[in-house]
Amino acid sequence: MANAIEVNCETGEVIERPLTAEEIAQRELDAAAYEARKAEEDAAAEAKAAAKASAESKLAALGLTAEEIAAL
Amino acid sequence: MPNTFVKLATVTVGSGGASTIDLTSIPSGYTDLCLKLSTRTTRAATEDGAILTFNGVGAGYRENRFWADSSSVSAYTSTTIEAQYSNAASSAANNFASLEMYIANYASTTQYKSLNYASAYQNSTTPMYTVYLCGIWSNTAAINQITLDPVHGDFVQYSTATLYGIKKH
Repeated sequence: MANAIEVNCETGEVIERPLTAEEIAQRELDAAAYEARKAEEDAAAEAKAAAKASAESKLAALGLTAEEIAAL
Repeated sequence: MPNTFVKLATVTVGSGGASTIDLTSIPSGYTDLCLKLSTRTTRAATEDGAILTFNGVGAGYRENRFWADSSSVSAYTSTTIEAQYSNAASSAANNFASLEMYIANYASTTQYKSLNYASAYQNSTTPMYTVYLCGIWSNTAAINQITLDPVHGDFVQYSTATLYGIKKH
């Protein structure tokens, strides 16, 4: 794992230091939360795509052309 | 309309990478802040997130995010501020995500802090993603520190972060 970079905006001083144990633990929590959120987002996107495909299929069965469906 | 940008700090990550970027001792003499990022991380995937925190405080955040690729748009809400949908190690070589964030009234001690950003996950092949986010930090403390923390990887060399103070004439 790389060092943390701290920049003091008043003095311009730059410090590179290892992460503390607390910071490492927080990163692990953030990673788990991110993965859970990303899974939700991916599932929502897949559900939306499936609904769109289903709707297009039903419209096509009613006689709409692909161009007409795309124009909706 | 604030129209004077003053560079407060800039970071270019060196060859060793950076696990976090921490902008500290942000002076209070401006009306708003503008943060500009160009990032890529070491995560062995196409993309990575980066969590933003103010003053080292992990609570009180809320975001609403619109995310679009070339064919669809999705919206999400979360109790963190994802500072960037960053390129990561498996995305096309030499592609860095870009972001510009506006943080209003950051030095106020009576208002919650609102922000918005436009961000792009770049891809010289395909796909590309556009992200627009509005967020709030429900805390009246003046912002004096901004921390950017990649969720999985580390920021790679040549990633940059620049913070501007915006002052009215």
